[in-house]
Amino acid sequence: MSIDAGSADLKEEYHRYILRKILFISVLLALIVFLSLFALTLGGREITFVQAAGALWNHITGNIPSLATPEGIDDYTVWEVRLPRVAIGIVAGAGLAIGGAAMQSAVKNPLADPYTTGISSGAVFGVAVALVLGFSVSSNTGNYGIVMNAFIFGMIPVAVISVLAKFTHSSPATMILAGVAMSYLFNAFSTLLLVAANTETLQAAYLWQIGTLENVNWGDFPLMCIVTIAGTAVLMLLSSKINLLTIGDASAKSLGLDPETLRIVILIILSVMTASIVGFIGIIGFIGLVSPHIVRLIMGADNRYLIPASALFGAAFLLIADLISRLIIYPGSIAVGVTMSFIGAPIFLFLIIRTRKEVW
Amino acid sequence: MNVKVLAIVAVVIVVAAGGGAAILLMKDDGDSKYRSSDLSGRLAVFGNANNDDYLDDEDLELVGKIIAGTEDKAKYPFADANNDGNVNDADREIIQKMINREEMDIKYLNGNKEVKTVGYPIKRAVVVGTNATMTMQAIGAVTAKKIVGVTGEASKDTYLFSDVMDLPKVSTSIIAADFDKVQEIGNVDAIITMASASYLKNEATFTGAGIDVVRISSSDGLEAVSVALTMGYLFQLEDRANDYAKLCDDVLSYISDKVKNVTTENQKSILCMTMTNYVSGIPSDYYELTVMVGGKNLADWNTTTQRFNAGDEWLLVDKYHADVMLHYHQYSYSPDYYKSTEQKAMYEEYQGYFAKTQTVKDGHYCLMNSNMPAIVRLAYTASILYPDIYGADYGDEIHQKYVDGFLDNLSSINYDVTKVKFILTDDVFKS
Repeated sequence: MSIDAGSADLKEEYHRYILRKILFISVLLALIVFLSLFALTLGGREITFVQAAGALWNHITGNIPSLATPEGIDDYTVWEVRLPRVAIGIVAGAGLAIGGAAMQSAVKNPLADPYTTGISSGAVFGVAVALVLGFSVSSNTGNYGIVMNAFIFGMIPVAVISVLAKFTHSSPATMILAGVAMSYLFNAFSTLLLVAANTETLQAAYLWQIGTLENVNWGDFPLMCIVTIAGTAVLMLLSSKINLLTIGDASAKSLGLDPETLRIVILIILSVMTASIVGFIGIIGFIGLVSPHIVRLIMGADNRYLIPASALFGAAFLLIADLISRLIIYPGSIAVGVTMSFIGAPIFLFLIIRTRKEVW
Repeated sequence: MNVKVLAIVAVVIVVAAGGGAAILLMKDDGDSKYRSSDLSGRLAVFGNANNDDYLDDEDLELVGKIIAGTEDKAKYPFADANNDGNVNDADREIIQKMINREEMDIKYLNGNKEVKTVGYPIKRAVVVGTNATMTMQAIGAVTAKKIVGVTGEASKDTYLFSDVMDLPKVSTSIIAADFDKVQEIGNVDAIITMASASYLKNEATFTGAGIDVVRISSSDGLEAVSVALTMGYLFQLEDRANDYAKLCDDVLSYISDKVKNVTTENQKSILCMTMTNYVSGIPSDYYELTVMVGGKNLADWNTTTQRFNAGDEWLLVDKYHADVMLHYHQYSYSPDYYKSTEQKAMYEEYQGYFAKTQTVKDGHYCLMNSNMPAIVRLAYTASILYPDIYGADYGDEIHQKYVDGFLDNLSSINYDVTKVKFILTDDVFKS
């Protein structure tokens, strides 16, 4: 009798557990849709919810009004100005959150985030090279050249750490320390370049670092989206193996896993994802750090659920931060990187105080 | 003969002669309107075939010669009005339309030396960037109400930019423009901004909506003449732009004439500084200006600037001991600012960066207001270095001409540049 009662309790708890997950993901999805539609109506030009939805429908049906008409301007504003910002915000938030979740699991460190490998410092150096020296890895020396420089140079610290890890069989802690060292090194390189730059260049380099969703357009979307989706798919396929990393390298090896190689693979995937995001919108902190922690409180630490849920949470989080950025001094706006830091830091402190070790 | 008749004839002859002379003199006045002889292509629009400062029948004539084979088209890149690689009747047709000042699309060279197309004429423009706003003031576009929006920071100096204060603001940043706000203004033909890629990163958003983006040179040097002439043409404010070119040409001519009096015996050495503690090097525009007036610029490095931090000693050596140190910094045109405690504090702060140098200790440090255009700064540099050759008041004289001719908001209140110091020295604060 007591065994049956216990089993029934267990089943009930399990159902509640599943329901909680489903509810959490459903709420996040609904929030993303709501925030996206609200963001489309926000701006100097008054466009109602119905008009915004109508503009989206026009593009789906191919019935796009002429730019010479007020409807055409509304349509252009929604589709070319506001929607790219929303779309890129969703992809960037998701990508950075997934990067954080994967990174924290891979190196078993709750303080890890996508920038732990020194990507941000490498990217800043790439931007400095483009702005100060006028050198770009692409033939384009304008904004696109800056983006490509940020992407390529952001990958250099990761490449160094990966090679080091491969040949020295480094532990996760060593990899993190190597990332810190690479950050300092590339910061020094950047400082060397920027110290002799003129005001305009310094301002441009500084503003790039802050991280913003302003000035994005559809041209920025494809690379970021493809890389993030591909990276997410691969990480999802590896999620069961990532779970094994959290139980320790010795245990993982005994179960047939090569933790060092897996760790390097994860590092490279999330670094490519992060570099593709940072290259276009600059450095936005705290999403990768905070999102996985919050999601773990509800979803647990199983990466099969943690990764997709972190993606949704990160997307919603960045959309909220961007809306706050635009509303706080409306009709002006502040960079979302600043807002995210103001929001993320207190949340992280709260999580530290309320932390539950059992999620690890 | 009847004396009366003789008198009448004499009067008629005198009146006729006087009238004829008057007509001739007036005609001469019209013909003696300034015409620059510069052929370097300062008017950077395709169609200005002969590279002078004017779009006229001489350009058509030259195109005819190129088509006939008597002139080499390689020497006249602007003759290819449609930029298709050939000079032919199609270009002649376009140039004729340009001479007729018809509404059309025109190709021009922007501040990045790229060939771009813009709708002509520009009737309503938004300006992004402080230097771009000053250029628009100089060519009269603000007075002619062709500027319909600015960025928020353009009103940094509420005195200098008093004529744009009431215009709609399209951004809180000096380097950006919000698409929605530009749309709110309505019927904007073009955004005028600086050449640097950090300005107006969302250029594609505007061009996609049919709003041209015109990027002008960010140079602090004499490229401003080309910018003024090109913008003057695009805005149909050519007379004013030509007046600006005349002022610049007059100053350059005066300086090139007087600089012959600078000898190795009386040559003064100089170093230029910018921002806080950056010393300008050989590639900088400031270096060029000092050399033009006969100064010996002691900078010997090939970067635009080199920083002199607290604790550094590299600038303290003898080879950098200049007769004059000229520090460029932007400050207000407001007479209320002059000699205020704020201005003194600013002066002391900037001088303080170089306080250890012998030049500063000798009292030969000058802080120049870099809000002034390059041609005015050139005149002031000349009068600082060689007051006996150029005239101690030459800078003020040219500056007053610039204010009277090209800053309508200040000339309308009879702004007197001598009442406000644009070159700050120790003596200014002692008196």
